[in-house]
Amino acid sequence: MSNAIVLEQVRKRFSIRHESSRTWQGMALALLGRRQIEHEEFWALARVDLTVKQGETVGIIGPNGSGKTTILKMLAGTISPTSGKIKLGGKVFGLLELGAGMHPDLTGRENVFLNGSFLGIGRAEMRRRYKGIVEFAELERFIDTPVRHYSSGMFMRLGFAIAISLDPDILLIDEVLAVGDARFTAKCYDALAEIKQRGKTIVFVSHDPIQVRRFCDRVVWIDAGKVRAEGNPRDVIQDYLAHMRGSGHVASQVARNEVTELGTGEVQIRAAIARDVETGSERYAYLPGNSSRLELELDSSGYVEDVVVGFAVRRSDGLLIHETSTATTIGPTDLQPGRTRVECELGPLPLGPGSYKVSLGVWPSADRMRPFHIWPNAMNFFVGKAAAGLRGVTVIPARWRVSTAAVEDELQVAGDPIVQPDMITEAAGPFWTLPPEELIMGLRDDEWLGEGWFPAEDWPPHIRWTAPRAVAYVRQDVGQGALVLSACRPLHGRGTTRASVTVNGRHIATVPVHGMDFEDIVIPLDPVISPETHELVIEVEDPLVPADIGLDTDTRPLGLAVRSIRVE
Amino acid sequence: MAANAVKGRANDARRFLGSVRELSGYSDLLRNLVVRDLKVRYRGSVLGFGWSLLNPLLMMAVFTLVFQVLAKTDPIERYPFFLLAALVPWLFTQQALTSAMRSITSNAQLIKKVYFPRELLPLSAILASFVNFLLAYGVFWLVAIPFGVGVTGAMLFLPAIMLLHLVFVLGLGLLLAAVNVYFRDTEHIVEVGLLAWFFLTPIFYAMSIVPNSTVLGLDVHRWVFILNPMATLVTDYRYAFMWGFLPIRHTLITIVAAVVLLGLGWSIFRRLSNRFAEEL
Repeated sequence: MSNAIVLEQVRKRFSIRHESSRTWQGMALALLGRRQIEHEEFWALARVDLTVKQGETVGIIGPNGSGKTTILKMLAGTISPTSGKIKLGGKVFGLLELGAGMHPDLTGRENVFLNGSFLGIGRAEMRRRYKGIVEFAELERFIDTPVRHYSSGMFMRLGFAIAISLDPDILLIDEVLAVGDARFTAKCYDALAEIKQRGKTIVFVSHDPIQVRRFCDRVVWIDAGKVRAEGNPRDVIQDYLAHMRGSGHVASQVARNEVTELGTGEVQIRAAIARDVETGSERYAYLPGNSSRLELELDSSGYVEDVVVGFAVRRSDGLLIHETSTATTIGPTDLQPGRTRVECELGPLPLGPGSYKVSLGVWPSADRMRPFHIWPNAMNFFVGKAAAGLRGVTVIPARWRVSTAAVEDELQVAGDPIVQPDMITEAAGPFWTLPPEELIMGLRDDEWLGEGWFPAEDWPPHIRWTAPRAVAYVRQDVGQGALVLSACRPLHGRGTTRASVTVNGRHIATVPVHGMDFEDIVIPLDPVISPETHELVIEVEDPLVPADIGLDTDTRPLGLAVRSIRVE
Repeated sequence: MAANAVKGRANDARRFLGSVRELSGYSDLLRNLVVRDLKVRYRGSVLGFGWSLLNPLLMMAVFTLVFQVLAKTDPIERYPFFLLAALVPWLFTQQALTSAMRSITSNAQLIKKVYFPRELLPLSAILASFVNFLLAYGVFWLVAIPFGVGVTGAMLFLPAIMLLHLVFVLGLGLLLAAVNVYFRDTEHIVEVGLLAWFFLTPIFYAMSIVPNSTVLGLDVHRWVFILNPMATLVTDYRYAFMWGFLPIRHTLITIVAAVVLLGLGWSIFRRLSNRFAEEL
């Protein structure tokens, strides 16, 4: 099999120029070829030799700043090596960032053709592929809308659909799959698997070792601009994870660089580490049932009263596992100016094998919506497999008993069964990230629901009943928007329910909800200039209590049945 | 030493041919970029292309009012057309240079993420302006015919003048686009420079108002034409358009200047474009 990519002795030097050297004199010298401009240099790639065979799927892993993206950019041709050779056997297309190569003022359709021509694909050929692209991206309704109005998910869908349909010989993918919803991500992986089967070459950069292992034939571990190890995914990733555990600060640096931190900044989290409870040494690898001690160092600009410190643990795919804070345990603290150390003993960890992320936060106890500092994905840790029999995402302590004495007694119900779990009564927040644009009830929605929601019910698909007043949080991305509420009123009783909708404390509409079928209620929103979190309150004047009209024993005051809330 | 220099030149020539060949493979992209530029330029405005006509018309109205009515300078016959014949080409220069200069910096995302010959961005920006210019000039010509602006043999030179104009603007545009990546001050300097250039070029006045004295053995008129290729170009346009005169002899200097500028602009652009993705 021939080689698709060969990197020979590739080195790349970046110079960090200081603003003061940006003068006309400096420019003149540079033009004359006398590079005497003062600058710091650093080698992003010290020396890389790498060969990728045609049809191979290669994953590149490594901490941030190790040179992964530099390699991808060189393969894509946007930057050239300082020395060394790059040979490419075929057309390359890079899915390097969301919406790269798209012009915001052009429509989705126009961007499809523009992107095609970047790869030298003519109009006629693009016209043939066009339908498939739109279908894959599921953007039929929006394809003639300028892409500036697209959400990040829509961008990603269009970008990905274009990339795979252009049918490059070598496809470069850099972390972009993290954006879409779970269903679309799965669809992308299916499509990639198909591309792989057709013998195309894929280079895949990711921070998530689990995804890399699932998908790649071979893994290259880049560290400090050099290939540190390469080989079969299992071994390389194991070594990589072992190394990362050994140097936890690397993991925190990774997180610090890649996700935007939020907050007002009065109190900052300066550093965080995880330690072994017994030995006190830094530890990022655990077994189910182990305990850990998190230590945070806070820096306060002044004397601050009633500060809450908390963190959230997430699985690598983003599922919120647990959230805890001093507010619900030891209570808020007052901070002196300067450094404060906070410790939390966590465990035994009831977690199944996998990789987990910890987001850290500090916020005033009075206003959890305006945090001092939220540091998403500040730390990673890994949980290994303890015993062969252990499966699943969590460990539930279970005590078994087998009795043969009373087999004649049938299983009987003692007392009334508990059929009505309580509704959510707690206010939401703090938010570790911006909320999604779409909340689908019963599907990872509870993080973004405030008070006034009853538990999800299976009414296929899932719904949640609102109490007379229900609070939810959604994101609106840049530009115009509309709130779409997929809801219906209780099945019995009067004909129309009037629901009042308030966004961020401002009443924006009172809408009649007629149907016994779900309908999309569309409420226009004002345009925003940056992604914003909206607090949405849905109020219903006359809730229906099924027991009152004698239909049921259900005594809950029901407002609307909601299937989803989204911003378009 | 000499052998090396020759070899270097041969390498340069080969590299130049290589880049020309590469560019020709991207004709589809170039067309798409030009179409994109044109679409984006007028998207969201009600009049659209109408602005390309309205803008010079409004300027013409202002200049006619100021210089022919308010300040009584020497009256010029058919002044509106006298002005438009030079103003519309000037507006092309101005628009093309400005958009070419910003073409790299405003497409930073594209440069960082996608490979294609970088020349295509200033090239498409200039070509989009050129298309606009051709349309506007054509429309004005049609309007001018009933007012006695004739169809003359000299007009056959217009395509050649336009081509020369295009080459001149390309060279300068490539240069500005590349330099602007490294020194954002360029935009501000060029803004003022264009204004000064506009007044120093015989667009709204005739060359005859410039005193015909002698400096360093050459008369001032010749100096203007030698130092300012735009003066030659707008004069050629005006002569062909208004009176059916052939291009003036200083055009030869402009041809040399335009070709040298294109070579220089392009080679500097090539040299600097390697590091665009890092600088942006």
